[in-house]
Amino acid sequence: MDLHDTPDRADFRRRLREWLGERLPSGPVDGAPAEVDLARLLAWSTSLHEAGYAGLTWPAEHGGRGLPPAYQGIFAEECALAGAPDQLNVIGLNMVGPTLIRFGTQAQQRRHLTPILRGEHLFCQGFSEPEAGSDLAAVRTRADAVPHGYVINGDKVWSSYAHVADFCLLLARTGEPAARHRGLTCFLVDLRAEGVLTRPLRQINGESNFSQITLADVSVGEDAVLGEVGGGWPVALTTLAHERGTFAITLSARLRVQFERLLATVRATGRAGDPDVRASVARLHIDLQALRYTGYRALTRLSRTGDPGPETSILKLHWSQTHQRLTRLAWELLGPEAALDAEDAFWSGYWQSQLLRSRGDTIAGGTSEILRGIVAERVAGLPRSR
Amino acid sequence: MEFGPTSAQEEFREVAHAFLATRYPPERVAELADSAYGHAVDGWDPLVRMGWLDPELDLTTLALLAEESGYVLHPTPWWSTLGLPPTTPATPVPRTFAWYDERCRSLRDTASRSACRAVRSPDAAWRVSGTKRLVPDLASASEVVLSAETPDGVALFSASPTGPGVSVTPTRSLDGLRRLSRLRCVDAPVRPLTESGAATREALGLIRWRTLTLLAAEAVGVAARALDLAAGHARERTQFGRPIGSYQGVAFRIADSYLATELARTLAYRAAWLVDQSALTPPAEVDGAVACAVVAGRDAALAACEHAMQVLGGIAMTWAHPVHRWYRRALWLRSFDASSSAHLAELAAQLLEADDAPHG
Ligand SMILES: Cc1cc2nc3c(=O)[nH]c(=O)nc-3n(C[C@H](O)[C@H](O)[C@H](O)COP(=O)(O)OP(=O)(O)OC[C@H]3O[C@@H](n4cnc5c(N)ncnc54)[C@H](O)[C@@H]3O)c2cc1C
Repeated sequence: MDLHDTPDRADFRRRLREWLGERLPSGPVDGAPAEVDLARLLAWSTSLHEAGYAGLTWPAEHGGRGLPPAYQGIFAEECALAGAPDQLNVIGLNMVGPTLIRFGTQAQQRRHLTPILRGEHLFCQGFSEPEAGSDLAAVRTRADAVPHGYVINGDKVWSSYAHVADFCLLLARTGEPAARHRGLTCFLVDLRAEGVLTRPLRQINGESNFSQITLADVSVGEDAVLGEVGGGWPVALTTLAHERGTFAITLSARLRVQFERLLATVRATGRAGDPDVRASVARLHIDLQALRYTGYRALTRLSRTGDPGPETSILKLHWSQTHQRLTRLAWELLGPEAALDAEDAFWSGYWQSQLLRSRGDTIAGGTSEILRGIVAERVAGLPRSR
Repeated sequence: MEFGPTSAQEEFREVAHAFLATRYPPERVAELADSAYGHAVDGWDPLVRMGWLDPELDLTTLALLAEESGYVLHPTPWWSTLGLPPTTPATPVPRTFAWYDERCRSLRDTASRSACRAVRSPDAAWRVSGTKRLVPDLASASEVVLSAETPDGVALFSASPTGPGVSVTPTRSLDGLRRLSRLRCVDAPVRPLTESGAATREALGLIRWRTLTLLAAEAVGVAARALDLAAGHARERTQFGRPIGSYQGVAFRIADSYLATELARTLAYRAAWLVDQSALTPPAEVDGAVACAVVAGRDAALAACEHAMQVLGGIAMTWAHPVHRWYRRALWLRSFDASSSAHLAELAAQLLEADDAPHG
């Protein structure tokens, strides 16, 4: 056990902190974070790449720095604590890239890897469909073989970043529906191809960060297939698994910043003397500490064994519930004025927006019910419920 | 950042696990709980031989032992003894700490008040008078450490439970394996351990941290056992033609127990590590980590036991089924020292008032 960074990692953290400090001079905590426009987000991805912070854990031969996952953890943590903008190419960097390295052909790797690192090929993930959410193996989008390629038809929903993305990692059916997950294949689809229509969906808080993607007779070449034909399921699972390693560190660091905002709100609303508020704040603090250090535990296990272990399945579950409780408490602190919104509300409606949006935390990326099922089956060894 | 026991620590744990599992199956533990004594008379020597009492053991290792002990309900005074800072006698004996009395109701207050009086007689020997209550494991301890007020403030003393002027009265206890007794001293000769003032405050601070951290780790062990009892039953028991573990109403309770147990385990390890690092760490940070571990550990133990009882159904309501032994321990842990509300209040004060406290 040692909760301090090793000297190399402490050095990496210090330099990164300095670098972030120069670029993000104002701290993230005093009030709601500022809105960031697309141009700035793109510029941010570019500057991260130029400074060598893109692809930290990717192998050096693919343009990465070949560092252990702990470095990605430090990077995610420091960025969140510094209030760094979202990384637009997060799906490419953390999910699609590593999957391409594992399953992609040399040509696919040459085509996409460097542009992913540079933020030039932005990816989104097209897995969910109107009829296939938790039950991903029920995907209906069809890819029919034609000479030299495939023709794709179907609908994808809730695809985050699709409105800005260049490519989509798409899960489609190449076999019979009865074959369930054995009849699926993964494709790298250019979102500018003819027949692709991306429509942003207006979210519960009024923002539009996910989209519906409609594919009507979209032609792709054989070189769009990632992995084996009919082998889409393991490819999809690999992407999801890559997300788990350090994602929890990002989530918990963001939650720490959110907690600082909560404390600022407690003070600003004059509720710091309220015993109920105090007890709730202390409970959230415990949940946050548990999340943070369990994240480190999972990361340590990942570096020791190559497998993040069963802890990871609970991190997302716990994070989502904690964040929902936090946003609800913050919103309730506003009293009768909690019913206001946008520019008429405290911090321009920040907590109203966060409260609404946080309800999706227990749905996106595996619902809490699905995650509990995974824990019950894989950790407690219970029989399948489905 | 290396968050996890080292391989040497894990090895120690594995040896302990195997030893405790063979020696204390639930039937033996139940028998002992219902016996006159409540402890395994032959339980102490093997612990000494295995090195549990080595003064060099770090608190993380002890926390792992506490976890394993909670898992089987290890029926010896290990917790009472290990909560005290280690001593270096040739053969370590079981010890316990007597602090709860009419004037002192929380471990936090031990350094500032006690209803027991210590006076120094002209021959320079110390004598203590007064009554301590709720002393755990007193019946099996060979030495009792107690706090008493001297004319200069509270100091710590050591007494023999069988010594002159000392009487021990057992009380009926909810947990038959960790019974509470009353200790009455009338001019009882005692040996001074710490001088009043800074030395006593420091010793008591460390006792509090150790005791509460091991309590939190033990709670994790209790939760883990309750989880296993529930999961084992859910795999075996069939109703409506299916194992009950395939029903989500059952499975989700078990998943929730697992979640709470893992989070509490993290916090117990962190507290143990920070207590060991306390010379290099701001006391508020150690205090905060210990409070987190205690609150989360107790909640996890209680919730896991209650989930397990629901999953077990009617048999959980019988004396014969062992689950109530762990439930009683979970309740015992819940009742020890400051309430969870008091710990939460302490954390809130750190978060909302102290500007230098580490947040998040
Ligand atoms: C903010 C946000 C971003 C997203 N981003 C993406 C993205 O980038 N790419 C992408 O592909 N998808 C994305 N999604 C979609 C997301 O993965 C799905 O919403 C999710 O998997 C749930 O599917 P569903 O919405 O169809 O709900 P359903 O699967 O229909 O579930 C409805 C309810 O039924 C419960 N349920 C379902 N099956 C079971 C079961 N076996 N046992 C118990 N309960 C069950 C669920 O837990 C839930 O409570 C996003 C979603 C959100 C909210």
